[in-house]
Amino acid sequence: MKDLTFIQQLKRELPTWVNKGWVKKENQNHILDYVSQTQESKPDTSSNTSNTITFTLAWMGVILLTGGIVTFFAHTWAIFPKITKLGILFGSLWICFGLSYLFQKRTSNIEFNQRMSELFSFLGLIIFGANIWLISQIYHIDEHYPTGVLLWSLAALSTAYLIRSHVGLIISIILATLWSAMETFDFMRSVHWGFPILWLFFLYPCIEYRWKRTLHFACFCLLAWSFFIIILFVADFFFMQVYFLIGLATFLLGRILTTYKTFKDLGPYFQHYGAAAALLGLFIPTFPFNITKERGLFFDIIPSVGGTETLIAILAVLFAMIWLAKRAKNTFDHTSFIYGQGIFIILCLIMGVNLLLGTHIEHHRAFISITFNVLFLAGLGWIIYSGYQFRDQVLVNLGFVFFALIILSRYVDTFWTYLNRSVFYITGGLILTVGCYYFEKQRRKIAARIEQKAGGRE
Amino acid sequence: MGLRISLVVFLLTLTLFGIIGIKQWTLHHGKPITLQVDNSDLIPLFTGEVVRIRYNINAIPLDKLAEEDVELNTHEIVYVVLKKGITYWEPEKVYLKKPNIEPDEIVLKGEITNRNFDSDMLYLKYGIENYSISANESKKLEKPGTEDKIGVQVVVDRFGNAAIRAVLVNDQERYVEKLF
Repeated sequence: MKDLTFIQQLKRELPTWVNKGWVKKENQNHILDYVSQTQESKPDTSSNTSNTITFTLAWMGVILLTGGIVTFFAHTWAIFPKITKLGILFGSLWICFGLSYLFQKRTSNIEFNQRMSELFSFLGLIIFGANIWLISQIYHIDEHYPTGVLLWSLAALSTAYLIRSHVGLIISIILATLWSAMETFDFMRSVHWGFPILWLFFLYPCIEYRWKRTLHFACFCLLAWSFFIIILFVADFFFMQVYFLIGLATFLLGRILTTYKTFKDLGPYFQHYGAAAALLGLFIPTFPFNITKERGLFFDIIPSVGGTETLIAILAVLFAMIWLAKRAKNTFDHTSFIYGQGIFIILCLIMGVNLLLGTHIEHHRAFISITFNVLFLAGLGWIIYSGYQFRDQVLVNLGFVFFALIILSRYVDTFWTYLNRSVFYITGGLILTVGCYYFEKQRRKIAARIEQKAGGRE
Repeated sequence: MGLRISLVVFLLTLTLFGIIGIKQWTLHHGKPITLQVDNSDLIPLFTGEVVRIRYNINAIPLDKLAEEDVELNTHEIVYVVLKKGITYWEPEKVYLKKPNIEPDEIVLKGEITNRNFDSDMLYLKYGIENYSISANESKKLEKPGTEDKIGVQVVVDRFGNAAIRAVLVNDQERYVEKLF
């Protein structure tokens, strides 16, 4: 059946496309004929809604069925001999992937069958995870349990690679993050390097199949992973300096990637998440009580961060800066780059002084925190300006969010003890209301200018 | 696509078989040892319950540490060298790295569970502390009397991994761990 809405919309749009020169006038009718024919030959596409309903019902059915099977076996599991148990475990796994294949193979109602295929591969992966734990129970395997989660994540990743399973990749990312969280918090690994190594393998399917939201999710999980480390290292001021530098280097790497045709799409992700990490790294030292040199919350497992690590991180940033300057010689916005360099040099000097102070850093809290507050605000200004220059709305938004955060933090820090509680809340409320209105107005102005600029260039 | 799905199923199945295989390898190639256990811990085994077994090697005096002035943390892996005593195998030394051993010794891989050294003891686990006989199997077993001595036979492979191979009653095998 024809999708009339689509054809009518196409009819309306085509004259505009002809005017813009994207489509030749004589081809207009050919396109409409072709679309009309393909719509005709397509199976009942108007049944998309009913497809979704059927698919949702199928999901619910599968969940109910799984629940029923689990409940049944939970009651009777112990009475089965090992061979029956293994038969059930392996059989259910094979049946799920078998059904996934059958739905994949069907040529009618492709979209629905694809979804069903994906649903059964998802179920197969869930069963695989359950099988790991049940087999461990049957054979009394009492090993390092995060390894089970890692195996599960790797299995999901292999389905993402081999059968292009989107849901497989999402499961793999979630499980990898869980694995890292278990290793970090349950087993006190100071920095769990296994995660970023595994994370690199998430990039290929995201880029190859253009799974942009999943790439966002993967980047978010990487940021969350770095946050696990912050929690362990938060009492080490020098670590926060290094964290900021790594975030900055990632941000610059993102900008470098945008200059390469192959990695152009990947660049903004590195830029945005790198900027978020860098701002977070610079935000934490703006709190005077965070300026300490201890070995972390879990004191005995945290290696101390010092001059060598800071120097390596500074060199990484410098290397990225030189690389970027070389790559974008002609297209470069020198104004923002020079400002950025200035802020970076001052930051490096401050970091050097802090390192020289060593454990005496706590005696100079006031001076250091004031300096970091000033530099943080300068950095925010730079991020917003840079976002405006490069027509990057996300950077502008990020700058405004951190700006609101620092204003709120300093207000609470400063006035919590000095003001009467009611005056504190009234003033705070006013600052929030008026401030939010003002910031939002400014943000919208910049967003409009960015759009205008983008339109102008087009 | 068929081939690719088959490959996924093959990999997943292989992983699960691998998990079973590693344990079976230890059971078949490990050297059997007898460890001292608390007799009362093991009685519920014969009713199909999961028991928590306490071995003599779960708590080792700190002076058995081979290295001096080392910082030990919870979850750290250590290697315990065991030597046969009069009846049971007893801990000789505890190492941070797998040591070379004499022919009459074996090395067992353990994980530190408690780093509270106030009691001068090192608390370890070896992955053989939880055990059960399935309800189906336990029904078939002759129940031990109150006078009977219950024990477990543990096997240790050359990598230091341990597994429970059999449940003993008066030093005779009453239940042996099988693949199926």
